[in-house]
Amino acid sequence: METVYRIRRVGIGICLVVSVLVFRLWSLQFLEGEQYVRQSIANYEESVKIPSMRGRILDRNFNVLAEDRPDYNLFFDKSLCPDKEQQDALLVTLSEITGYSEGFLRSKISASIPDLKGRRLLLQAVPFHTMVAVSERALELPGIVMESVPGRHWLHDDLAAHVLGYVSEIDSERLKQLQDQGYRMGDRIGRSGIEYSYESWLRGRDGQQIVQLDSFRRLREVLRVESPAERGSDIILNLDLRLQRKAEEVLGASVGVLIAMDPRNGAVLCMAGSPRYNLNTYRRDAGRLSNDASHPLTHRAMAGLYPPGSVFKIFESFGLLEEGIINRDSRVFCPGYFSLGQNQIWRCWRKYGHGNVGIVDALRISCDVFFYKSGKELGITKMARWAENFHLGMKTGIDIPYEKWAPFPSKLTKRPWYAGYTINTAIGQGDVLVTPMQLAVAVSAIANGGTIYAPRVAAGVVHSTSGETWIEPFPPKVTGTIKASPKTWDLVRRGMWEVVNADNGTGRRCQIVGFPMMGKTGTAEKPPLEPHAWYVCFGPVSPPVGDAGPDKDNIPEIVVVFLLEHGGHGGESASPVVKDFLEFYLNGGREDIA
Amino acid sequence: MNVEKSFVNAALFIVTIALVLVGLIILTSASAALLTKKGIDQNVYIHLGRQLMWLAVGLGLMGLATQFDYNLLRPVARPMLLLNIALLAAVLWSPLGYTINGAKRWLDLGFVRVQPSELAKLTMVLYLAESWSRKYEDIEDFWRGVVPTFIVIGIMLAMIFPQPDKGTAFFLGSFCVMLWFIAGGNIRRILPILCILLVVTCILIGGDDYSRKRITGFFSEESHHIRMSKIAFANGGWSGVGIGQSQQTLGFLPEPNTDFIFSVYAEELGFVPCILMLFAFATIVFLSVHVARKCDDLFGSLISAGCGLCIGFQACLNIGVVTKVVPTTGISLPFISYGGSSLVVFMVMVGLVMNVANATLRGETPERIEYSKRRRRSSAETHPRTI
Repeated sequence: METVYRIRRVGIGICLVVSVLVFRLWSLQFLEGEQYVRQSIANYEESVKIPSMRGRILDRNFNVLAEDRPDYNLFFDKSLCPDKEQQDALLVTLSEITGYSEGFLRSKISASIPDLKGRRLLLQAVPFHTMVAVSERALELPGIVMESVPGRHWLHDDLAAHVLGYVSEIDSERLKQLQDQGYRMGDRIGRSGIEYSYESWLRGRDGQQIVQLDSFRRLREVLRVESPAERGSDIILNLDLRLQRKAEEVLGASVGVLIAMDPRNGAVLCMAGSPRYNLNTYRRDAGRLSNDASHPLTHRAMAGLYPPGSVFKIFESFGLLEEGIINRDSRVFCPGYFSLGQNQIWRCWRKYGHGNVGIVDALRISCDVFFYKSGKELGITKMARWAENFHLGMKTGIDIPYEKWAPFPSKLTKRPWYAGYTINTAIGQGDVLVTPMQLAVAVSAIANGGTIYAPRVAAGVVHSTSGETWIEPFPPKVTGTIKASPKTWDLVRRGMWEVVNADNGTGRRCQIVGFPMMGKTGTAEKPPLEPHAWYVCFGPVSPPVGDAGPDKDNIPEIVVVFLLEHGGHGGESASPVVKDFLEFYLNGGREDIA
Repeated sequence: MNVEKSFVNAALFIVTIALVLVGLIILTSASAALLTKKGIDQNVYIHLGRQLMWLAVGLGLMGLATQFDYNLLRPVARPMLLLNIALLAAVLWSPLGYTINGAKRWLDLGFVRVQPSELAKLTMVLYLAESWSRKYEDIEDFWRGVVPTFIVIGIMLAMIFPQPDKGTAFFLGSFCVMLWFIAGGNIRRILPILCILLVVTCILIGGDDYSRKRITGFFSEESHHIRMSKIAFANGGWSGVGIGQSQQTLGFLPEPNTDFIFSVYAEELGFVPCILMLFAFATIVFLSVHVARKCDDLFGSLISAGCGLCIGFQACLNIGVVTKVVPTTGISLPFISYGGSSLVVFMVMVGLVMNVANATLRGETPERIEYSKRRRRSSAETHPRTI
């Protein structure tokens, strides 16, 4: 029967086919196998960054000011939820959870650009209860991907906002510059303040891990960690949390600056500027803040330029005495005005004049005419040189970026130079512009007997290597010294002593029993607005006796510089505030601070 | 009780059920990944559930297929062919036609979707067996034997081809030729038809970018599908990565639950189970061929051989595709791949083989003598029976 034979032939054919397939399986699974396994590994495995935790910022008593915490970001992945109806249902659920309107979420989806993984950022740093709710209802939310990333949290919102600074994703411009330092797209970087200047310490090092992905490039599991992420080092500040808080409290809603500095080493104890902004909500508020007329983003303490007014007289006195323009016995008669030529008149702040005044009196009562006259004799060039001895018109070298400075006016900055300019400059008006920080540095130099320190906000860095923790302190940095005769020192310090301690001293409202101080008030005219009110002081000091010069063994422990923008007269409005602040300092754990 | 008969029936039944069960396991694994990919709220067992439902239908029909005299199928064959053609026409032109992934292969009956091209395999076996056993003497006559049959088959293929389901059309075409050869036809007789078919196929494939790329791609660069499939085999190696552990199902391997399910199987279970599965299919083929040889009735013989070869041929083609022995054709793996119509049709085919085995190995029934008189006479004249 032919069919039977045929069937047999087909059977042989089947045998052949089966053996071909068996051989093929053999070759695929073993002979060529290795090559394909390698291919497959390349397919699934990817090296992924483990973001490092940024170091914390601590105050001098190790109170945390800024630290990293996990932030939960919500992404929307369209590929996981392609269905239109499903998307609508998802948005309804999500708006129920988050409280944002559906329309808002929808606009977020359409507005955001998909990242490398094709996901669109929907909500950033959602609150904890939202994170929990989203995880609970994950089944109703296909396409919502939650990712935990370290995020910067500033524990006291706006406290020392300018000093601490802001952290955000690196922009393309800086990325280009810093690429070889290992910065990658999406890395965080300090934008201002301490976060900027100590970036290299705070940053830490990102780790690498090999993860297994599915073909939608979603994480399946972590296979191994190539290098663990290294946490950034903590930075300890000289700043004292309580002092900073008090400084900001006394400033209140008014616009101004209060700096407290240790004249013995240039440590910045507090550095308050007002108005401030909330670092935690900065991202959301940025637009509003940058258009705010009161400029809350400006770091007034070191980027605000103000005429120093009468405070400048201290530094000018050094010039007058050292250059021999005046001496201890020189007297100038103040009729209430000073005239140059026919109809050019400069008025003293006291309409009826001060009568005969010497240098100590002139400082105490802040007589303008005294300084008009002797300042004119000193001349602008020498005046500028002495101002620059105190580093006015120079950068202080503070460890916070974006410091501003203006050159001290001289014949080099303004041409032609008229004698009238010199007279204006002599009382810290005209083109003289300083930052409160510059004054703090210069006053510190007077307090400590002539050493100019670069102000230091950061005290040190906490290293923790192999379980050991140790603090590397940043040494104080001396940027200049002032050489003057003991006689000069004595006279200026005597004048400053009397400002606070004499009955008619302009700074008498700042007297504190048991804490003798020297100081100087300033009232910088800013017509047509109210003048800026200045008050600078340092203590404790011993009353000046004889011509011994500054007592190098007994340096005051605190310098305070206070500025109230358009605040009125320095003696009346500024000095009582400083008194309030210093009383807090004296009663609130001075030992901790000093 | 006939030992041989019991053995054949039991072996067929056990192998089939074993294949189906293994298929369910692999299907669950492959579908879970596939469905998870679509969205996290998907029920990952939905494919398993549907397949189980079809399995119940399949078991019922398989049992039914063993329970009657297969000769009763003779008058059924032609109406069934017409019905099948009508169903195919409904897929193409009626609103009931249902499209998945751009292919309109399904008939949506509301509560269930069926695939008439799967039924066409059974229909064709029955029709050809009936047709060629009836005009056995004229089988080599070109005009009387060859042309009408091929025209009827041609109509069916022409309706499957544009679904598009070129793989199934190609499979049925070659299977038809194979069956013709078994029935006793001389390949030389149909050479002109084969040539025409070849030319038409070439033109159709050449005219279609997608198909042409598949063919040329087979010889030159590797397509994504095949590369992923090969990686799956390589991952599997000796022992496999374990059930449910397949990486290739995670969206890398296309169609992990239908055409490429064998790759998932290989990746998860390794080399030995692959060989075992090949032998399982070979067992079905050999048992059905054995039954066909024993059967001295051409109709029964062709049904048995046709059903067995249909399963075996399709399995070989599928495994050939995923191991890159033949170019990619969209052919599923019998009993294993997800798909209700296919499962039911193949189970019925096994049932028919068992039916023929029952009849053949039990002894002759009166009806069978009647029907096979002519055929026995003619075969006795030309080929004296030796076995």
